[in-house]
Amino acid sequence: MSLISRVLEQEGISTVIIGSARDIVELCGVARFLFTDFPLGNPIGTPFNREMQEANLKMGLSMLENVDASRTTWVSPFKWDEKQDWRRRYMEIRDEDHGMLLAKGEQRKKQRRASLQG
Amino acid sequence: MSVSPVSYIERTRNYYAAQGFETPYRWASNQSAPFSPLGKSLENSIVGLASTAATYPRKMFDARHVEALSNDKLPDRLYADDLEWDRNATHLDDLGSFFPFKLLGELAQAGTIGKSANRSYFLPTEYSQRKSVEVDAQTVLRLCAEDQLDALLLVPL
Repeated sequence: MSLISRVLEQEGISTVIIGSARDIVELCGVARFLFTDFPLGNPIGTPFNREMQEANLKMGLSMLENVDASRTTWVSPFKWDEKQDWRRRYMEIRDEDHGMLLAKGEQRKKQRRASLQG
Repeated sequence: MSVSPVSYIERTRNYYAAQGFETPYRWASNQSAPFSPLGKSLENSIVGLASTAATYPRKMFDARHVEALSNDKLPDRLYADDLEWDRNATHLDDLGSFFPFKLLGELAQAGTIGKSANRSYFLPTEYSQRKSVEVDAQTVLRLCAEDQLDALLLVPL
Protein backbone atom coordinates (compact mmCIF):
# COMPACT_ATOMS: atom_id res chain seq x y z
CA MET A 1 0.00 0.00 0.00
CA SER A 2 2.93 2.36 0.71
CA LEU A 3 4.28 1.70 -2.79
CA ILE A 4 0.89 2.52 -4.31
CA SER A 5 0.73 5.79 -2.34
CA ARG A 6 4.10 6.79 -3.81
CA VAL A 7 2.82 6.33 -7.37
CA LEU A 8 -0.32 8.36 -6.58
CA GLU A 9 1.75 11.21 -5.12
CA GLN A 10 3.97 11.16 -8.17
CA GLU A 11 0.88 11.60 -10.35
CA GLY A 12 -0.73 14.42 -8.37
CA ILE A 13 -3.04 12.63 -5.90
CA SER A 14 -2.44 13.52 -2.25
CA THR A 15 -2.37 10.58 0.14
CA VAL A 16 -2.33 9.80 3.83
CA ILE A 17 -1.59 6.41 5.31
CA ILE A 18 -3.04 5.59 8.72
CA GLY A 19 -1.30 2.48 9.96
CA SER A 20 0.44 0.62 12.75
CA ALA A 21 3.54 -0.95 11.13
CA ARG A 22 5.77 2.07 11.52
CA ASP A 23 9.04 0.44 10.49
CA ILE A 24 7.60 -0.95 7.23
CA VAL A 25 5.89 2.28 6.15
CA GLU A 26 8.84 4.50 7.03
CA LEU A 27 11.36 2.22 5.32
CA CYS A 28 9.31 2.42 2.11
CA GLY A 29 8.98 6.19 2.47
CA VAL A 30 5.60 7.88 1.99
CA ALA A 31 4.35 11.46 1.85
CA ARG A 32 2.16 11.54 4.98
CA PHE A 33 1.84 8.86 7.66
CA LEU A 34 -0.26 8.85 10.81
CA PHE A 35 1.17 6.18 13.10
CA THR A 36 -1.30 4.54 15.46
CA ASP A 37 0.59 2.28 17.85
CA PHE A 38 -1.98 -0.52 17.89
CA PRO A 39 -1.93 -4.25 17.15
CA LEU A 40 -2.15 -4.87 13.39
CA GLY A 41 -5.78 -5.02 12.31
CA ASN A 42 -7.41 -1.92 13.78
CA PRO A 43 -5.32 1.11 12.74
CA ILE A 44 -8.21 3.57 13.14
CA GLY A 45 -8.91 2.72 16.77
CA THR A 46 -10.11 0.11 19.21
CA PRO A 47 -13.31 -1.63 18.06
CA PHE A 48 -16.54 0.25 18.81
CA ASN A 49 -14.65 3.22 20.24
CA ARG A 50 -16.14 5.83 17.98
CA GLU A 51 -14.55 8.75 19.78
CA MET A 52 -11.03 7.40 19.26
CA GLN A 53 -11.74 6.38 15.68
CA GLU A 54 -13.08 9.81 14.79
CA ALA A 55 -10.14 11.58 16.42
CA ASN A 56 -7.61 9.45 14.52
CA LEU A 57 -9.47 9.87 11.24
CA LYS A 58 -9.61 13.65 11.66
CA MET A 59 -5.92 13.73 12.58
CA GLY A 60 -5.05 11.79 9.44
CA LEU A 61 -7.17 14.04 7.24
CA SER A 62 -5.70 17.17 8.74
CA MET A 63 -2.28 16.03 7.54
CA LEU A 64 -3.51 16.77 4.03
CA GLU A 65 -3.74 20.47 4.87
CA ASN A 66 -1.01 20.84 7.44
CA VAL A 67 1.95 18.84 6.18
CA ASP A 68 4.21 20.51 3.66
CA ALA A 69 7.13 18.08 3.43
CA SER A 70 7.35 14.50 2.34
CA ARG A 71 8.10 11.63 4.72
CA THR A 72 6.21 13.27 7.55
CA THR A 73 5.04 11.01 10.37
CA TRP A 74 2.58 12.14 12.99
CA VAL A 75 2.02 9.94 16.04
CA SER A 76 -1.48 9.44 17.41
CA PRO A 77 -1.60 9.97 21.20
CA PHE A 78 -3.96 7.05 21.80
CA LYS A 79 -2.88 3.83 23.53
CA TRP A 80 -4.44 0.46 22.72
CA ASP A 81 -4.67 -0.64 26.36
CA GLU A 82 -2.77 -0.44 29.62
CA LYS A 83 -1.36 -3.99 29.61
CA GLN A 84 0.37 -3.69 26.25
CA ASP A 85 1.15 -7.42 26.21
CA TRP A 86 0.14 -7.65 22.55
CA ARG A 87 3.54 -6.16 21.72
CA ARG A 88 5.35 -9.19 23.07
CA ARG A 89 2.88 -11.79 21.85
CA TYR A 90 2.69 -10.92 18.15
CA MET A 91 4.62 -13.59 16.20
CA GLU A 92 6.21 -14.64 19.47
CA ILE A 93 8.41 -17.73 19.16
CA ARG A 94 8.57 -19.72 22.38
CA ASP A 95 10.86 -22.74 22.82
CA GLU A 96 7.92 -25.12 22.56
CA ASP A 97 6.75 -23.56 19.27
CA HIS A 98 9.60 -24.64 17.00
CA GLY A 99 8.12 -27.97 15.90
CA MET A 100 4.72 -26.44 15.25
CA LEU A 101 6.25 -23.60 13.23
CA LEU A 102 8.31 -25.92 11.06
CA ALA A 103 5.18 -27.99 10.35
CA LYS A 104 3.30 -24.79 9.53
CA GLY A 105 6.04 -23.78 7.10
CA GLU A 106 5.90 -27.16 5.36
CA GLN A 107 2.15 -26.89 5.04
CA ARG A 108 2.45 -23.40 3.61
CA LYS A 109 5.05 -24.52 1.05
CA LYS A 110 2.80 -27.40 -0.02
CA GLN A 111 -0.20 -25.10 -0.40
CA ARG A 112 1.86 -22.65 -2.41
CA ARG A 113 3.13 -25.37 -4.74
CA ALA A 114 -0.43 -26.63 -5.22
CA SER A 115 -1.69 -23.13 -6.00
CA LEU A 116 1.08 -22.60 -8.57
CA GLN A 117 0.31 -25.92 -10.23
CA GLY A 118 -3.45 -25.39 -10.11
CA MET B 1 7.43 6.01 29.90
CA SER B 2 7.56 5.79 26.14
CA VAL B 3 7.48 2.39 24.47
CA SER B 4 9.26 1.50 21.24
CA PRO B 5 7.05 0.53 18.30
CA VAL B 6 7.02 -3.17 17.45
CA SER B 7 9.72 -4.09 14.90
CA TYR B 8 7.50 -5.85 12.41
CA ILE B 9 10.26 -6.41 9.89
CA GLU B 10 12.43 -8.22 12.42
CA ARG B 11 9.50 -10.17 13.88
CA THR B 12 8.31 -11.29 10.47
CA ARG B 13 11.78 -12.34 9.35
CA ASN B 14 12.31 -14.38 12.51
CA TYR B 15 8.85 -15.93 12.30
CA TYR B 16 9.26 -17.12 8.73
CA ALA B 17 12.85 -18.26 9.34
CA ALA B 18 11.47 -20.43 12.16
CA GLN B 19 9.08 -21.93 9.60
CA GLY B 20 12.01 -22.95 7.43
CA PHE B 21 11.89 -20.18 4.83
CA GLU B 22 15.51 -19.47 4.03
CA THR B 23 15.32 -16.27 1.98
CA PRO B 24 14.01 -13.34 4.00
CA TYR B 25 11.56 -10.93 2.35
CA ARG B 26 13.07 -7.60 1.37
CA TRP B 27 10.70 -4.74 2.13
CA ALA B 28 10.70 -1.74 -0.18
CA SER B 29 13.25 0.85 0.89
CA ASN B 30 13.57 4.44 -0.34
CA GLN B 31 15.47 7.49 0.81
CA SER B 32 12.97 10.01 -0.56
CA ALA B 33 9.26 10.04 -1.35
CA PRO B 34 7.15 11.91 -3.93
CA PHE B 35 4.90 14.62 -2.47
CA SER B 36 1.79 16.18 -3.97
CA PRO B 37 0.31 19.13 -2.01
CA LEU B 38 -3.48 19.06 -1.68
CA GLY B 39 -3.73 22.35 -3.59
CA LYS B 40 -7.16 23.21 -2.21
CA SER B 41 -8.84 23.22 1.16
CA LEU B 42 -9.96 19.96 2.73
CA GLU B 43 -13.53 21.25 2.82
CA ASN B 44 -13.49 21.50 -0.96
CA SER B 45 -11.77 18.17 -1.58
CA ILE B 46 -13.12 14.80 -2.67
CA VAL B 47 -11.55 12.13 -0.48
CA GLY B 48 -11.54 8.37 -1.08
CA LEU B 49 -10.76 5.43 1.18
CA ALA B 50 -8.69 2.30 0.51
CA SER B 51 -8.18 -0.85 2.59
CA THR B 52 -6.04 -3.97 2.28
CA ALA B 53 -9.05 -6.06 3.32
CA ALA B 54 -11.25 -7.85 0.78
CA THR B 55 -14.99 -7.72 0.16
CA TYR B 56 -15.15 -11.53 0.05
CA PRO B 57 -13.47 -14.31 2.06
CA ARG B 58 -10.26 -14.48 0.05
CA LYS B 59 -8.05 -17.51 0.74
CA MET B 60 -4.30 -17.57 1.32
CA PHE B 61 -3.12 -18.24 -2.22
CA ASP B 62 -6.06 -16.85 -4.20
CA ALA B 63 -5.13 -14.38 -6.94
CA ARG B 64 -5.28 -10.86 -5.58
CA HIS B 65 -6.74 -7.95 -7.54
CA VAL B 66 -7.58 -4.34 -6.87
CA GLU B 67 -11.32 -3.92 -6.46
CA ALA B 68 -13.57 -0.86 -6.37
CA LEU B 69 -17.05 -1.03 -4.92
CA SER B 70 -19.82 1.54 -4.49
CA ASN B 71 -20.23 2.44 -0.85
CA ASP B 72 -23.96 1.63 -1.04
CA LYS B 73 -23.09 -1.93 -2.07
CA LEU B 74 -20.50 -2.69 0.60
CA PRO B 75 -20.97 -5.91 2.57
CA ASP B 76 -21.57 -5.78 6.31
CA ARG B 77 -18.07 -7.07 6.98
CA LEU B 78 -14.71 -7.21 5.24
CA TYR B 79 -12.24 -10.09 5.17
CA ALA B 80 -8.53 -10.54 5.71
CA ASP B 81 -8.04 -14.24 6.38
CA ASP B 82 -5.09 -14.24 3.97
CA LEU B 83 -3.26 -11.28 5.53
CA GLU B 84 -0.95 -11.04 8.54
CA TRP B 85 -2.58 -9.14 11.41
CA ASP B 86 -2.91 -9.66 15.13
CA ARG B 87 -5.75 -12.15 15.45
CA ASN B 88 -4.90 -12.77 19.11
CA ALA B 89 -5.19 -9.15 20.14
CA THR B 90 -8.19 -8.05 18.13
CA HIS B 91 -10.85 -8.80 15.47
CA LEU B 92 -12.47 -7.25 12.41
CA ASP B 93 -16.04 -7.11 13.75
CA ASP B 94 -16.18 -3.30 13.73
CA LEU B 95 -15.58 -1.75 10.30
CA GLY B 96 -14.95 1.60 11.96
CA SER B 97 -11.76 0.26 13.52
CA PHE B 98 -10.09 -0.29 10.14
CA PHE B 99 -12.39 0.93 7.36
CA PRO B 100 -14.04 4.17 8.48
CA PHE B 101 -16.23 4.84 5.44
CA LYS B 102 -19.27 5.75 7.56
CA LEU B 103 -17.27 8.26 9.57
CA LEU B 104 -15.79 9.70 6.39
CA GLY B 105 -19.32 10.18 5.05
CA GLU B 106 -20.33 11.91 8.25
CA LEU B 107 -17.33 14.23 8.01
CA ALA B 108 -18.47 15.12 4.50
CA GLN B 109 -21.96 15.86 5.82
CA ALA B 110 -20.42 18.04 8.52
CA GLY B 111 -18.33 19.93 5.96
CA THR B 112 -14.93 18.80 7.25
CA ILE B 113 -14.22 17.41 3.78
CA GLY B 114 -15.97 18.42 0.57
CA LYS B 115 -17.21 14.99 -0.36
CA SER B 116 -16.42 11.36 0.31
CA ALA B 117 -15.92 9.27 -2.83
CA ASN B 118 -18.86 7.18 -4.02
CA ARG B 119 -16.62 4.11 -4.24
CA SER B 120 -14.06 2.55 -1.93
CA TYR B 121 -10.97 0.68 -3.06
CA PHE B 122 -9.65 -2.65 -1.87
CA LEU B 123 -5.94 -3.04 -2.47
CA PRO B 124 -4.66 -6.40 -1.31
CA THR B 125 -1.17 -6.59 0.16
CA GLU B 126 0.96 -7.77 -2.71
CA TYR B 127 4.14 -9.80 -2.23
CA SER B 128 5.51 -8.63 -5.57
CA GLN B 129 6.67 -5.01 -5.40
CA ARG B 130 6.83 -4.90 -9.19
CA LYS B 131 3.14 -5.86 -9.44
CA SER B 132 2.24 -3.27 -6.79
CA VAL B 133 3.83 -0.49 -8.80
CA GLU B 134 3.28 -1.58 -12.39
CA VAL B 135 -0.18 -3.12 -12.14
CA ASP B 136 -2.07 -2.31 -8.95
CA ALA B 137 -0.96 1.32 -8.63
CA GLN B 138 -1.90 1.99 -12.26
CA THR B 139 -5.38 0.57 -11.62
CA VAL B 140 -5.76 2.79 -8.56
CA LEU B 141 -4.62 5.83 -10.54
CA ARG B 142 -7.34 5.14 -13.12
CA LEU B 143 -9.97 4.72 -10.38
CA CYS B 144 -8.91 7.98 -8.71
CA ALA B 145 -9.25 9.80 -12.04
CA GLU B 146 -12.68 8.29 -12.71
CA ASP B 147 -13.86 9.31 -9.24
CA GLN B 148 -12.19 12.74 -9.50
CA LEU B 149 -10.42 12.29 -6.18
CA ASP B 150 -8.23 14.99 -4.71
CA ALA B 151 -6.92 12.72 -1.98
CA LEU B 152 -6.91 9.07 -0.99
CA LEU B 153 -6.78 7.80 2.58
CA LEU B 154 -4.99 4.45 2.70
CA VAL B 155 -5.56 2.22 5.71
CA PRO B 156 -3.54 -1.02 5.67
CA LEU B 157 -4.49 -3.63 8.24
